Amino acid sequence: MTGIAAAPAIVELAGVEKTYRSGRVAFRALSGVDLSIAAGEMVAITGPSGSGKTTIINLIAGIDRPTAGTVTVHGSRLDQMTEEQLAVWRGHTIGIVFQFFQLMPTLTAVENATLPLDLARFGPVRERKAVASRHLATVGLGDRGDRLPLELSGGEQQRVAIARAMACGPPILLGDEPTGNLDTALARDMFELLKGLNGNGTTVVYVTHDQALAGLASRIVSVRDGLIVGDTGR
Amino acid sequence: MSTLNRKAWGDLTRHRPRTLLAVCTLSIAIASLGFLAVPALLNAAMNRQIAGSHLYDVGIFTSTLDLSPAQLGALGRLPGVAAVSPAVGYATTAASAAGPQDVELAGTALASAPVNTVALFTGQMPGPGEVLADAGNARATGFAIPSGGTIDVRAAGGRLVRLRVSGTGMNLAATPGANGSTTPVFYAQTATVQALRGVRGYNYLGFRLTHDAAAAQSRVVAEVRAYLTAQTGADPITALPAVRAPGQWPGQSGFNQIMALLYIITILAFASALFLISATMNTLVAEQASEIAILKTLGGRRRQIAGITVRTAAMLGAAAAVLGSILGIAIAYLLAGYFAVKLIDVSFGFAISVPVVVASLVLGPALAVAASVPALRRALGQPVAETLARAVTSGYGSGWLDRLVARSGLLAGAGVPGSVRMGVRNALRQKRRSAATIAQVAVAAGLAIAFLALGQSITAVISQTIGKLHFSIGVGVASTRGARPFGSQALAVAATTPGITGAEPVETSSVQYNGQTYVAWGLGAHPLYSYRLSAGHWFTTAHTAADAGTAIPPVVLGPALARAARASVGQILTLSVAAGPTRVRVIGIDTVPTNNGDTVYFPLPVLERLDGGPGTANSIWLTTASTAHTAIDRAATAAANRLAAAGYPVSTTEIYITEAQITAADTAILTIVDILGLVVVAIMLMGLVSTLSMGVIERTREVGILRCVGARARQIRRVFSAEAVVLAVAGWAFGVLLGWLIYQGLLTLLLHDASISLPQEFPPVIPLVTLAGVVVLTVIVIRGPLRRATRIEPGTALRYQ
Repeated sequence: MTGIAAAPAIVELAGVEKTYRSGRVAFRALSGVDLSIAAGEMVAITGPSGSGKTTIINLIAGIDRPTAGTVTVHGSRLDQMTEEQLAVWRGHTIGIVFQFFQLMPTLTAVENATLPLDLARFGPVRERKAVASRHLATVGLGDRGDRLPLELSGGEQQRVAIARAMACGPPILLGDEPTGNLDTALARDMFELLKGLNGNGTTVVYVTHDQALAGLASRIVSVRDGLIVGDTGR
Repeated sequence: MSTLNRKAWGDLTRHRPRTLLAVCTLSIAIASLGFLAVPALLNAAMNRQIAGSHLYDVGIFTSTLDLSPAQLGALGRLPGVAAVSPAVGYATTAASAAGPQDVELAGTALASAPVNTVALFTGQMPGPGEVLADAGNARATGFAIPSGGTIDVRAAGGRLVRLRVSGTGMNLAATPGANGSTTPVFYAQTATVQALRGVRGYNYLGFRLTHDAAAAQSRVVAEVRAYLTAQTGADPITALPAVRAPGQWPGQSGFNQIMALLYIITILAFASALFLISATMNTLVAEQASEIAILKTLGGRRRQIAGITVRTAAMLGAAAAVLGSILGIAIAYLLAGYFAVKLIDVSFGFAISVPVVVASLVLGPALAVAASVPALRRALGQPVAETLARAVTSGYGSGWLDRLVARSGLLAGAGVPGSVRMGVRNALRQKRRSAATIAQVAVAAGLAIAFLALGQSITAVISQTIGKLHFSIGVGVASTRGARPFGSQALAVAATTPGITGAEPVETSSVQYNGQTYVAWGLGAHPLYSYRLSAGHWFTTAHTAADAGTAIPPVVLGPALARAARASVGQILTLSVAAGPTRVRVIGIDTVPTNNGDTVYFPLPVLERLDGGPGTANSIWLTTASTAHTAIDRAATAAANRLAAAGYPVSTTEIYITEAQITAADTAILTIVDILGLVVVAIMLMGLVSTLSMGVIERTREVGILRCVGARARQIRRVFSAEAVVLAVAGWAFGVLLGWLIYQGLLTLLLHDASISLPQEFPPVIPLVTLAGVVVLTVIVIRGPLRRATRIEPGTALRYQ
C-alpha cells in the first residue's frame, strides 16, 4: 500500500462479469469483480492460467466488454462506448504491451513506434518521427530504428513494443505478460523501464504469473476462478 | 471417420467464408470449361437441323428451265445423286409503310421437297396465293409479318399482288440470318412464284449426293452441266455452284470466328482461375505449417500428413466441380442457344456435352490437389523447430526486397499516412499470392485492353472500306433469279432519276480459287471506288473498253486473296467462274479490305462476258445530289420505281444503311466477346476479393493490435485499400503489355483463321480508360473484405488462432 492509493481512481471496475461464448459453449471468465486503481499506481495482477487476469486487462483497455457491471477508465464509461470511440480513446489514453510483442511486421522499429502517433494524428507530422525516435532511444534502441521486427531479438522487439506503448504519452500503460517471452535478465531490464515510466506518473497495470516480477509492483491483485481473491492494496 | 479424415474435414470447415470463396473461384474456372461444349452442342443441333431439312450438298443456279418430270427424274438418277429438288427464286419488292421493301420468294415443293425441305414452325403450309414467312425475317431483316397478315408483292408485270401469310417456317439454305442476308424470305408453292414471275420453269436445283466429298461434288456439277447443256443446247448455269463441305452449315464461318475468340477467353479464364486456386491452396497449407510440424512431432509420416491436405483439397475440389459443372452446363446451354438464335435463327433444345461434364467433374478435385502440392512439399520439407518458432513471428523481413523497401525510405515521407505505408508493404508479404493476383488483374486488364483495341480496329476498318465507296445507292438485279440485267437503257433510266447525279454500271459475281469462293467486281477504269494499290496498277481505258480482247484478262486482287494466293504482279492464276475455269493475269494488288479483302476486280466487260451477259451489268452504283439520308432514301425509291416501270425489277441498297448494319453486326459480335470477357474479369475480381479476404483473415490479430493502439475503422480500411490498389495498379501495368500482345494475337488469328485484315489501332486512351476501370472495380469489390476487417472486435481478434 502506498500513499498514492488515496489519489482519485483512474480505473474502476464495479460488479464486472464476463462470459465468453463459443457456439453453445459458455466460459465464465469473471464472476463479479470490483477493482479500483488510483492514478500513478503500479499494479500487478497475478493468478494461475485461465483465472481471468488477461480478461481484466482487456476490460481496462476496452478490448473486451463486460457481460455485466461497469468499467470506468480515466473518466470514461467504456461499456457504453462504440468500437470507434474506444479506438480513438485507446489511442490517447492507453498504451499496451503484449507477451508476443505484436509489432507490425512490415514496419521498421521507428515506424512501429510512430504508428500510434499517426493513428491519433498526434502533433505535426514531422515531429512524430522525432518523438518516436526519442522513445526508442529511451528504451535503448536509438540505433536500431531502421530494422524490421524480424531483424530484432525478442528483447529488442519488446523494447520497441514499449516505445510504441509510450508513443502518445498515455496516462495508463497496460502489460499482458509483458516479459513472459523474455529471459530473466531481460525481464528485469524491462521492469526497470516500466518502473521508470511509473515513476514519471504513468499508471502501470500488468499481468504476470511470476511472483518475483509481481513483487516489483507496489500493489498485487490476485485472481482465481474469475474472482479477486487477494489485493495488497485493500 | 478416422482422426485424419476428421482433421481434413475440420480444416475445410474451420474458415467457412474462405472455403466458400475458394469453392466459388474454382467453380468459375470449371464452369468456363462449358465454353468448350458450345461448338459440339451447336454442331449436334445443326446436324439434326441439316438432316431434318435435307440440306443441299450442291446447289446450282440456272437460267429459267422448264424441266419436265422426266428430266427431273433423269437428273435424280445421275451418278452420285441421291435426290434433286427444283425451286424457283424471285427477287422483287413488297409494299411497306417505309416504301418498297426488297423480298425474296422461293417456290418449292415445301415440306415434301426431298432437298431443302421447308419446316413449318407456326400456322400452316401455304396454299395457292399464300406465302410462309421465314422465321428469321423479324430478327435478321426487321421485316416481320404475322400469320394471317398480308404482303403486297410486285409481280413481273409491275402490278402489286396481295398474298396471305399462312404461318412461319424455315429452310436452312435460304433463311436470311444464317446466310448473311438482310432480305426477308418467303416460301410459296412453285406455281405461286412462277405466276408472279410470269415465267414457267425453275432457276435453282438443289442436290443431295450419295457421297459429299469435294471430288464427288465436282463430278456431280460436271454431270449436271453436261446433262442440262445437252437438254437445252447451251450451258444454263449462271453462277458458281454452291457446294457445302461435309458437316458445314450456313452461318458456321461466323460462328467459328467467335468460337476462336471464345477459346482464347476460356484459356485465359482457366489460367486465371488456376492462379487463384493455387494461391488459395498455398495459403491453406501455409496456415497449417505449425500444425504440420506438430503432427510430425507426434510421429506423423509425410504420407499421412500429406494425405490430410490432399483430402481437404479433394473435398474442396469436388464441391467446386459439382457447382462448376452445373454452372458450366447452364453456360453452355445458354450460349449455344444464344448463338443458335443470333447466328442461325434455329431453336435449340436442352443438351449436355457428356465429355465436357465428365472432364469438369474430374478436373475439379485434380486441380485442387495439384494446386496444393507445391505448398505442401514446402511445408513438409521445413524443419519442425523452425516451423514452430515461426508460428509466433511473421516471415516478413527475411527477404532482401522487404529490407530494401523498409530502408529505402519508400513511402516514408511525411505526407504518407502510416496506414497507407503498411498497406503498400503488405502487398509484399505474401509474394506468391500477390504475384498471382497481379497476374489475374493483368489478364483481365489485358483482355479489356485487347478487346477495346479490337473494337477500334473494327471501327477503323468500316470507315476504311465503306469510306472507299463513293456512291450512295447500289441498285442490283439478281441475275441468278432470272431478272433482266441492266443495259444502256436501264443505266439511262437510273441516271436521269431526280436526285441522282451519276450512274456507273458494275458487275458483281463470285469466283473460286483453290476451292475458296471470292467476290468478283467488274469495274471501269475510273470507278466510284478508291482503290489503294500496294503493287502494280489499275485497269486502263483499253482494259475496260467494250471490245477489249485479251486471251488472259487482267485482274486486281484484294489483299486477302493476294495473301492466300501469294500472288505478285504479272502472275497468272486460274479462277473458276460460272462458265468454268479461266486464266487471269494479276496486274495490281489492292490494300483496301473490301469484303474482308476477298475481292477480285475485273475490267467490267470481262466479268460481264464471264458471267454470260456481255454488255449488260447486274448492278448500278448511283451517286446522289445530297448526302442526307432522307434525300438518299427518296432517290433510291424513285430510281427503283422508274426502273421497275421500265421492266427492271430491282433491289436497292443504301450505303449508309449497309454501314449501320455492318457496325451493328460487328458491335453484336464484340458485345458477345465482351460479355464472355466479363467471366475473366469476374475471376479477377474473385481473385482480388480472395486475396484481400485471406489477408484480412490472416491478419485478424494485427487488426486487433491496430485497434488496440488506436486505429479507427477508416484507418484499417486504408491499410487494406492501399494494398488492393497497389496490386490492381501493378496488374494493370502488366496488363497493358499483355493487352498489346493479346491484341496482336487476335489480329493474327483473325487474319489467319478468317482472312480478316484489321488495321493497328492502339491509342493511349484505351490503357487509361482501363486503368480507371480497374481502380473503380477494385474499390467496389474490396468493400466486403474491408467491412469484415473493420467489424473485427479487438478482443476477438487477439484471441484469434
